This record gives sequence, structure tokens and C-alpha cells, in this order.
Amino acid sequence: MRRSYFILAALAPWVFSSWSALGQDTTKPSPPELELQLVPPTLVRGVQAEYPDQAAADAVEADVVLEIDVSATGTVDDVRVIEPPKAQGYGFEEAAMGAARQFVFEPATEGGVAVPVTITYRTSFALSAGEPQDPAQSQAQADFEASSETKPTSLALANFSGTLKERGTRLPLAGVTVVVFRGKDEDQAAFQTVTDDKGDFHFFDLEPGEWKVHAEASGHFPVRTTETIAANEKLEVAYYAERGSYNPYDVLVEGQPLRKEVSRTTLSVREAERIPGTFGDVLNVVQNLPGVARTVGPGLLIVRGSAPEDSEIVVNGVEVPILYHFGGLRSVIPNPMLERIDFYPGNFSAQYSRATGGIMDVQLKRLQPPQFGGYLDVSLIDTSLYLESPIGDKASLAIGGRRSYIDGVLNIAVPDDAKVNLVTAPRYYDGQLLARYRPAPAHELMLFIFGSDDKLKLLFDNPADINPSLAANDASTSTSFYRTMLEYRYTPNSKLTNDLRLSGGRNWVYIGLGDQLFFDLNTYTGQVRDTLTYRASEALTLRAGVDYLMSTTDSRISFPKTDKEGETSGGIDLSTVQLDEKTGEAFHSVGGFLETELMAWDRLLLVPGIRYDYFSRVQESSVAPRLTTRLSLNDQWTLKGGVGLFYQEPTFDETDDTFGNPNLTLERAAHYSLGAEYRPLPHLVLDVTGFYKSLDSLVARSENVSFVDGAAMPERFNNEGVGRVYGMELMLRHEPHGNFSGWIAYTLSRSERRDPGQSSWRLFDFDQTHILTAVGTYDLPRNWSIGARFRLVSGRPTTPIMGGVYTVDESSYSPIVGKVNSDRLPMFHQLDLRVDKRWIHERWILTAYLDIQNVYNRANTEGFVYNFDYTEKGVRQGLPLIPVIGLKGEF
Amino acid sequence: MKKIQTNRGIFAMVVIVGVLGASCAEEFTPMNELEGLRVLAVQSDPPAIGTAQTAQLAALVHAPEGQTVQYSWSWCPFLGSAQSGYECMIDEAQLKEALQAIDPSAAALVPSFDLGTEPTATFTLNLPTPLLDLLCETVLGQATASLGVTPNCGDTVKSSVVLKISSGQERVTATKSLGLLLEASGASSNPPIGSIKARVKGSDDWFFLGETQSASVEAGGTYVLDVDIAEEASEWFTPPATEADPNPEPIRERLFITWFVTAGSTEAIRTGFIDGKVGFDVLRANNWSIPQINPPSEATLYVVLQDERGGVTWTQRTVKVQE
Repeated sequence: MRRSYFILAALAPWVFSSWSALGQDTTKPSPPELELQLVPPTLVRGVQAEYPDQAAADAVEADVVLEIDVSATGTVDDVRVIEPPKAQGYGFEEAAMGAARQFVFEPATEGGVAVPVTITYRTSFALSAGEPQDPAQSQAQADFEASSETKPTSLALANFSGTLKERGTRLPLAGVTVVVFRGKDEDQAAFQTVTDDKGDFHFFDLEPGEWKVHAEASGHFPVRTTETIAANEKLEVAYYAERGSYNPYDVLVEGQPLRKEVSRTTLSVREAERIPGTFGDVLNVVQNLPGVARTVGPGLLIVRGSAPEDSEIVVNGVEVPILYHFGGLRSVIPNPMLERIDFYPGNFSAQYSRATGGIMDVQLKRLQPPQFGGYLDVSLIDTSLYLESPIGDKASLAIGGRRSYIDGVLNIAVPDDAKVNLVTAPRYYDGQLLARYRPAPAHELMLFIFGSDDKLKLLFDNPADINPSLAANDASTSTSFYRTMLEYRYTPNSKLTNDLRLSGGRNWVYIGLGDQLFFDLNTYTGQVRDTLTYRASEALTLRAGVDYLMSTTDSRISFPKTDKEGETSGGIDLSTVQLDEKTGEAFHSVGGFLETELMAWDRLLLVPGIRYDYFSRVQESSVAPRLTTRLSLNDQWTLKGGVGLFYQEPTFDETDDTFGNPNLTLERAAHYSLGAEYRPLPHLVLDVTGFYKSLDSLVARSENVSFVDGAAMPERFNNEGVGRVYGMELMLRHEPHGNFSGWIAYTLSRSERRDPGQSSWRLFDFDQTHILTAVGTYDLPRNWSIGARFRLVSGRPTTPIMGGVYTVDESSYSPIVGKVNSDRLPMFHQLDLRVDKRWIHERWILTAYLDIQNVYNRANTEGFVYNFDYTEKGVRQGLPLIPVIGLKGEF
Repeated sequence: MKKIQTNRGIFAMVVIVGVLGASCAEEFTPMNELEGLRVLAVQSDPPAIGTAQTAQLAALVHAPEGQTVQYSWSWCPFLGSAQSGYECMIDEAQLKEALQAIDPSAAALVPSFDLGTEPTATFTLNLPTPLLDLLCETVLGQATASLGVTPNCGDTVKSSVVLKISSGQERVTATKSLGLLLEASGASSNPPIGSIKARVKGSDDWFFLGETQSASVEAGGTYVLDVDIAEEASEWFTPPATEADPNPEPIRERLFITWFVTAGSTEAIRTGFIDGKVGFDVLRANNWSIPQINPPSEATLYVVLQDERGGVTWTQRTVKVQE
């Protein structure tokens, strides 16, 4: 192992009096009794550095301090600049390094054995000849043929070296002054040095004895200790300075990007992962933002009164099949691989397509870990591991994985004589690999491979007790996918950026009840997306892109007719089961967009854009013009507005020739929004936005029948549905600042639909008039933090059940339903709390968290349940108070 | 192409959960514990009829002691949706008009929808098979298609019998399918049901629950029940050919029993047989717990055996409860 010895790089004036310490004879004979006596290397062949021509012409002088790795044979292994010249651009560094690489040394020895060492070496470029400044230098240059222009100045040995790192994270603390001192009054001696990029520091030729050490990094508790220096021995230490607060915001340095959208909320991962009720899963946080309706599970995204399938979730702009295990239990991407979440509830850019609701764009981290690190997170339901490391100077790699153990717990908990046997209890796992390679500033490659697998299989002893129409005694579900995403960013200059993204993978979904009902879908998918951005000037940016998406699907489906939005049949009619098998069904969608960002008078930002898409499944094209604008009245007030058209395909089953209508066309939405932002403080912003959304060509259930060869054929669906959504969103956000972050989000809205043949509007299934969410996280001393989330939300609409009819064939009652969505569930309110505590160890951090959902155990109504003949009604309650404890070790 | 897999997956999962959870109502009195007026079963003998055949209709009704029950029977070619309250989607006049358009002589053959107000009823099918076929493909096909389902008559047109009963303020409506055979091969029979024996749970001493001679059970006791059902009760039949399976193999009927009790509770509301998956032993057996607190002097057990093609048979036993 190479040892490092450094010459003191910088000395403060108040210790100049001790400068002579550097001049002590470092090659003095060592006492024979010390086995570890170190003899420094001796320069046997020096090479004069050439004085750069331009520097000479401009009469510029400079000093360059190098760090030289000298091998055990005396050759130079490596040379680095540790103190560059003040005069940059003349080539002093290259000249000094070029000369040093040719040096040959008599190797250093330790106990008589040649050892590799690292020394520092100062090369002075001076226009006139000078004498050596230090006697020690003369000693060191005994065999060096110094020129009158360059002056290699020093060679000395350190007998006290150390590393200063941050406690817990092990991040090096660079630029920190380390002071050693002893004595009083006239006997006082003191030296100081500054840590380098690696947190290393060195003192040279300290007199033997006790020395007090003091190091104080900004924002950290000071390190104070005493060390004993022994004669002719070298002392190596490692100090860990504890940060004043391990509030993640302390290191959160994020620029405020130019806002172009009417409504966009950006959440950093660090901010989001400690929000109560989400169990640290940042992707679940979106449900707390304005415009997003509450759902029972976090897997559904209901944005501004649009159906879940109307909103798109993408990762770095690329579509992914699922983001959650079991529909919302956990997200499939670990937090450290995420940079932030950009959420657009409406009027989103022409860069996005195939959605008429909102966009959730999950941005992956541009991986750049300073050192090897990671974490192990153990909770009650799963364990996850994450590791990241730099690979050389230009690359980095991260891997992650997670495995649930719900199956293990349930297998123990479920008795052997249970009526339902867990053949495969619910289990999931996922894995990820994220790599980044930046060979040159202009080129950046990112690779992201991830996949997930969820499985559940049940075996019923007596399926007739569940439903006498069941012809199978087992039920299973399996959802697997993998994706490979490759991103290449080319930035030849400050004006031009090109982002090319390639993605490919496979999705496999199987859900079945034996061979009676099954849904078996196997899809191979690929996507190419390229975006070119040209910043013509400070005021004008042009952006253009193309986007191609394809899929090939094999499907085998046997399913009954099921309820769509706005329908309540009250049950599943197994007599309506239909079988559909398809092989190699291929579809594609190609699109392109143009967008301009035009800043006028430094106040008015106009972002007009237009998007074209072609969808092969409905064989239809769309042209969608969009415009957003922002007007900054002053530093505090901004007005904003937007208008645009948005299209999307019907869902797969709606255009299927067995389950739907292949003649359907695109659904369309027009978004209008107008609002204002008020920022009274740099970290405090109030955002109020009004919106109106007009929906047409909506796919709706049709009772129309056509006759083919005399046989009646159902139309099933048509595009005659319409909708309207209007409302107002308010968000008061305290961005991460000091010890607090949080927001209050309030949405007032109404979402309605009008079905084909109907003259009156009805409420949308997920319409929620009032949605109030207050979220806050506060950092307390001693690495405690506490967070709270309170939600007050209108109950969602529900369709009443008026009674029942006994269906003899099924030995059960069938409900008689009333007017669609003419009733509403009671108001929902809930308080969640989260407490985090960090214990900072030298090399790792242990975090324990307690996430308590529904603190005051509110019995919220999530729906109604009925007795067997629908003559009695009860309440289906939401989750009670649930405390979840987790441990996370980071290193 | 977007989010299709996810949505369809969620959609499918919702269906599965819906099917599995359809009978979940833990907070309420279980469906098989009888309290008020109930229709427990409706039988058509035979379960499906062809042209010129008559179905004898009967009902198993539970009414609180001493109450008189009024009956109202009707036939319906096609029942409506949950929103319509399962009302008949076409009335007698409309059906006659529709069939008359196809065959002027057909109107006279349309059966009366009103089947009377007696405890039993009969239904006779006079429509010839070709007309029945047309009825399925056009009139009923249109009604089916309007619900978004592709009509598939196969070898049987599925019609319904509706029974409305009332007693005092209580009213109950029950529906049962009645197959109208296009081909004789679709015929089936009601499954036979045999004797019922019981034993105290934990004991090996079986005793029969006689139809006429009451057995005795102890309050607070749990009894293992076993119904004698012959393997032949599950008939072999060939499902209708479909586009996906034009030559289906013969299969055995699924059977299930619904266990109704006037006192106490049973371990399972229903037990079933699925060939190759769930055996007859599961179908035949159940546990009946007799209440310990305020036990009645008598308790009645109704065992309703059904097959998947509309076959229904029942038997009942009344036992004395000893405290």
C-alpha cells in the first residue's frame, strides 16, 4: 500500500514563525533501534521544465505544486497538480508535470526496505535566476541540475498525516483548516494546513510530544483531540466530523430552473421521501399535490377529474408499464436512483403526448457518487439494498434490489386448515442497474436496466362458498416486466443539446381463476425518443423532437363484461365471459413536436408548441397545438396561462374486436388554465390556478346493435361521451429552507360526464369537490425530524343500491342499482405522522423511522357494503391506525 | 399502446377480487340463516325444455310460521340489467309483434308471459325450433347485444322464470333460468338427492335425519352433516361449440349445495363439486352449530342441490333441539 507524505501546502502568516520546521533535515540518520525508520526518496535525475513561451513573452511567473507517486524502484508512477498556478492558460501545469514524469529517484526506504511513497514537489517558474529559498531544498536538490528559470523547491516527509471526513457519510471534507499547537506564551508552537480534495492533511517534521489538534469544518461540530508524535515515527489518523444537522436540505443545492409551465410541481427526492403516509416512497407523494384526487390505493393517478388511464407516468420521458408493486404497495424504482418528480396536472408541454389528463415524469438521477456507498433498508414488509460507486473519473454505477417477505409472514400466520391456501403468498421483488459514463464534457451516456416481478397464487378448498359459478379452485396473479433504457446526451456547445433515448423490454401479466377466467398478456415493446434543444439566444430556445413507440402482443383472455367508469352492475356476470386469443398483434405510434421558448422584454415568456401523432391502433392522426405563457410582473408576482389540445388512444380492451369496438377514434381534451404565483420570500410561494377542461369523443358504453348477416352484433362502445372539468387549485409551499419544508394544497373542482343518449350530466366516478392536504416536515436537534400530513377530502360519488333479486342459479342476490353516482361517501379526513431519528456513526448512519397512518384512528368510509339481499347497508371502513417501523443503514 | 397492460391488469384484478368477494358480508346475518320471507330455490322439471314440452315449476319458500304466501309466476325471454331492476326487456305484445314480422303465424305460438299465482306453475313451449333459433339471433340477440354481450345461443336459448312472492309487508323476487332447447342434446335433469346423516363433531356415531321422524340435536352442539349424493348426480354434457373451441370435449356438471338453516349457523353457506378439482366429499359435508343461548325447540335444515345447467333439487329436515 502506497503511503502519502505531503509537504505543507499552505501556511497562515501567524505560523510563519515556524516555517523553519519545513527546513529541518528530513534525511537525518535515524536511530538504529527504530525499525520503521523512513528514509525519503532522493532525486537522482531531474528534468528541467520548459518555460512556456507565451508566459515568458508576457513576463508571467508562477508556482506549481505537484504530487508525485514514486515507486519502490524510484520511478515516477503518477503526477498530479495539487496547487495550480494563479496564472492560468499558459501551460505551467503541463510543463511542470511533463518534466516531473521524467524524474528518477533513489527510492524511499522503511526499515531498510524500498517502499513506494508520494511526495509533493513545487516547481517555480521565474524569469530571473534565484537562490534556493530553503536549506532543505538544497539538500533535496543535491543531484538536481536546477535551471535559472525553474526551481524545484522542496522535498520533505510528514510524520503526522490524516484524513478528515464527515461522520456517517464518509464524504471527504475538503478545504478545512487543520491546526496543531502546543505550549503557552513564548513556548507556543502552532502549524496549520488545509485538507485536500480527499480530505487528507499532513504535517511535516513535528517535534515529538503531545500536540493538540483542532479542525472545524463549516456546518460541522469541531474536531478537538490530542495526538502524541513519537520520534522517527509516522502517525496516521482519521477524523470524522459530525454535521451540525443531518437535515438533507443542508446539502440540497438546486437551482431554480426557468419555469415554463402553467402548473408544474417539482419534488426533490430528499424532500419527498420523509412525507408521512408514504412509507418513504417518493412516487406516492404525488397524491398530495393540488389537482390530484385521493384514491384508496396509491397506484391510481386521478388528475383534475380525469380517469386514471388518461394520465401518463414516464421515467425520463420514456413510458414504463408499471411503477408500483401490487397496484400501489411499493414503487419499483428505489429513491436513490431518482432525482425528482415533475408533475404536470394539465397544459403540459408538446414534448408529452398520449394523455389527456396529466403527466408524472420521474427523473432519474445523473449518477455521480463521490465514493462507494449505499444502504440496507429493512421494514416490516420488505428489505432493499442499494449500492453505488464511482468507476474512475468518468463513470459511475449503482445497483439496487428489493424482496418482500409478506409471503413468509403469511405462510407462518395462515393456519394449515385455512379455507384458502397460499400456494404463493404475495411476494414481489425488483432489481435495477443505473450506470453513467461521461467520457468528455460533450458526451454523456446513461444506462438504466430495471425489472420487477409480483406473484400471488391461492388455492381454495371450497370455491362454491365464495361463488357457486366458479369452475376453478385456484386464483393467481403474476406481473413481470423488464426495461432497458439507454440515454445519450450530446452537448457540443452551450447552445445545443441533443437527448437520444432508446428503450426496450417485455411485460407479462397473468391473472386467472384456473382455466375459467384468465388474462394472459405478453408484450414486447420498444421506444425511440430524440429531443434537440437549441438555445439561439438568452431570449429564444427552440426544441424539436420525434418519438416512436411500438409493441407486439400475444394475448389469451377469457373474461366477462366488467364495469367501466360510470357503471355499477353490482357484480360480475360470469355468463358474459368471452374468449379472445391473439398472436403477434403489433401496434405503433409515431409522433413529433416543435416548441419555442420566447422571452420578450425579460418578463413575458411565451411557449408555443405543436405536436403531431399517428396511432396505428385507431389508424388516426392528431395535431395538437399548445401555448403556455408566463408574465413576471416583478420579483414576487407572476401571471400565467395556457391553452392546448391533447389526444389519446382508447384503452386496449375498448378497441379490441371481442371486448370492444375496433372502430373507435381518439379521445380529445382541451385544457384552459389561468393563474398567478406570488413569492413573498425566496422559499415561500403561493400558486393559484383556475382551470377548465373540455372532454369530447370520450369512449362510452353503447347500447347500439348492428346486424351482420342477420345476427345481432353489439357496438359495445362509441366515442359519444363528453365531459367537463372545472375548478381551482391553490398551493402554498414552503420550499426546503432552514428546518422546515411543506405545503398546503387545496383543490376545488367538479368533474362531470354526459353519456351517450343522455341529456343530463352526471358526476365522474372520482369527483371530489374539496381536496385539502397539508404536509410538513420539521428538523429537530440531535438528528430527529418529525413530519405530519393531514388530509380533508370530499367523499367520492357512489351509486346507491335499491334492493336485490334472488338469482336462483347463483344462489345469491343480484343488486338493483339506482341513479349513477347520485350519492356521495362521507367526508374523509386523516392525520399521518412520521418520526425519523438518525444515529451518526463514524462510517455509517443508522436511521430509524416510525410512520403512523391514521393517528387518531378515524373510521373513514371508503364504500358501502350490503347484506345478502341488499336490504341493509353498512360501511366499508378505511385503514385503521397503522404504525410502520423501519430501519435503514447508509454507508 | 400506453399503459394498456397496466390498466388491463388492474381491470382484470378488479374482476377477480369482485368475483372472490361477491359473497363477503361479514357484518350481516349470513345469507343461509333464515329469518324472514325467502325464496330458497325454484325448480323447473325438466330444467330445460324443447318444443312441445312443458316445464313444471315449483318453489322452495321459507315463510315465518303462520304467514300466508302469495305467488306470482311469469316467464321472460330476456331480463334487463341491474339498472332496470332486472325487469323483462321485452313484453308479450312486443315479442308477438317481433315474431310476427318474421313469421305471421308465430304470434299465436308465443307463450303467455303470465304463469299464474299458484304455488306451482307450468310453462309450455310451442315455438318450433327454427322460430326459436330466429328468436335467439334477432330479438333476443338484439337485447343481449344492447348489453354489450355477443349473443351465443349454442344449443339452448336462455330464458327466465320470475317468481314474486309476498307475505304481509315482505316481498321477494327470484329469477331462474329456463333453457329452451334448440337441440335435444342439451337436455338435462334435476340432480337426485339422498338421505342426510349427522354426527356430533368429534364422534364417529352417525345418525340419520329422517324426513318424517325428527332426530334430536343438543343446543350448543356442532354436528357434522353428510348428504348422500350419487356420483351420477353430476351429468356428463358437451358444452356448446364456440369459435375458440369448435369441438368441445364432454365434461361433468359442477354441483353445489346451499345449506339453509332456521337456527344456528353452518361452517359453509355453500359446498361444491368441480370435477378434477374439488371432490364429492367437499360437496356433501358441512358443519352445523346449534345455538346454545335461547335455542328454539325445533330447527330446520334445507339442503338445495343445484347443477350448472339449471338443475335444482331440495330436501329439508326438521330436528328437535334439546337444551
